Amino acid sequence: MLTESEIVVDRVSKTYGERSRVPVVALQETALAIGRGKFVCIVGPSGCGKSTLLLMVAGLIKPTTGSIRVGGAAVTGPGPERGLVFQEYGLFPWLTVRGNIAFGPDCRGTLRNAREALVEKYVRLTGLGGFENRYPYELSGGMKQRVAIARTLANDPRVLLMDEPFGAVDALTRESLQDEILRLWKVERKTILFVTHSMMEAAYLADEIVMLTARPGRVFAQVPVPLEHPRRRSDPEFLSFYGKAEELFKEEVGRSADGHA
Amino acid sequence: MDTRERGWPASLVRIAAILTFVASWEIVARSGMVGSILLPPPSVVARTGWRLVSSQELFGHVWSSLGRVLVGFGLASAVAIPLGVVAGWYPLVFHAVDPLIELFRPIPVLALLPMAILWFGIGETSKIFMVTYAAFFPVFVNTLAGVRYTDPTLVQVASTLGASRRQIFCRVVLMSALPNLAVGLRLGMGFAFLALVAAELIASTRGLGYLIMDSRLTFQTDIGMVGVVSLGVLGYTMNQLLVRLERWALAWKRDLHGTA
Repeated sequence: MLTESEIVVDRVSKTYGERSRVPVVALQETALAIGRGKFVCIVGPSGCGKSTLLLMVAGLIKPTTGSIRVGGAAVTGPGPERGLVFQEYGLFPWLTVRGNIAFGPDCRGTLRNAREALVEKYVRLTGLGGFENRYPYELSGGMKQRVAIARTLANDPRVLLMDEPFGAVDALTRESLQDEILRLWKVERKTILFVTHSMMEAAYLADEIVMLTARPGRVFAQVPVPLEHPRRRSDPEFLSFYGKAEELFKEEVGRSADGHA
Repeated sequence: MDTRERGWPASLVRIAAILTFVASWEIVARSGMVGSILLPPPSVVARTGWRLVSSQELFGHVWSSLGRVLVGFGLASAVAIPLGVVAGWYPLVFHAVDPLIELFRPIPVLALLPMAILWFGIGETSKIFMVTYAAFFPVFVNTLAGVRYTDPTLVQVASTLGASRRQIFCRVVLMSALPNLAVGLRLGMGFAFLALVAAELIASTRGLGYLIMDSRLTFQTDIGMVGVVSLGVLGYTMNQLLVRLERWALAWKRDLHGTA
């Protein structure tokens, strides 16, 4: 089982300010195995360490204990095989849409023609046609997040890590972005690890839902979602699963659940 | 450009404001409330200005002043920008440089003028020293802040996209420091003119500051006024050049009013 998993989180914990007088445990010892090509959502209330977990997989934060392997290789720092999409987009404001998407390939020395072809491909896939020469300030939140996703995919990562990517956009845009990411996932066949505080979002997107309790964070359930794609939010089967998942979550998270929506 | 900001009513108001100011000056100067030697009317200043221009006398002073500003400002930028970038990027360099900078920065540059004359005499060196010294601090401090306060998220984004440390520095940190650098350059230019005129007023035989001081000694206030106006025009022109440069380099940035 472990050998075929794309992402292996092996007894990982994170404590901030270890040497200070008041160390803060952000994440208790956690073990996870995520299969290749899976869409996995991590759900938890604010401050449960779910972003910390994601950033550790990205290599931006070092675990206090334990280790992480992606595609069989130990994570020691950030790398292009693990693409990260931030909630606040993180677009380079001085680069156009084209420049942002080309950033990764450009840094890795991809030749100009190949780079242009990549930009072309992901502009088309994310519906950004006609906006190639715009600067980020000229785009709406939803468009910005499309650029961020296109930029990450243009690097052809093994896994796509998404940190509450649709948390900053309005509800309608969020639903259309959710459909977009499912479509991209089908086309690109990436493994996706997606952090959200919304059970509804997780139930709509995921193959598997990983649930975390509030601080200090702890994984208490890894629930498979027994529904086929495409899903419909009004479908009785969907609603029944969502209801059960939400119930399980609320029961465990209990008092500290006020942080989730 | 936003039409509400740049349309004809705005231009009209701008021109009217200048005309009103000049007209009031003319009226006050001619009314006899102030002696015409103390405050010559703008028409007289304009005539004197034309005389100084057509006799080429003004150009000598303008070139001296402009040359000093450009050399001093250039030297200051050539040192302050690289030093600011390095101190913003390497914390150890910051800690080495910061106490010295903060020790010297509060000293008003004019306090150094007597020393500068003692050290460097009344030739070009003392003027260029003053201009360089004055322009250095705003350029340095702003460059450093621009580099140091690069959005850490953008650095993280770049590193997850596979950028090396060098690429992060060149493509993210330097780019995001540009707006601050632009502010620093414009402030530095202002300080440069301040130091220049002070140096020229005290000990000089050429330059607009000298022209102003010299006219005072002979009660030729109109010539002094021409010198003052020339400094205004010169300073305005230099600032506009920097603004152009800034607009060109920061086309990606949106200001408060939605214009780039």
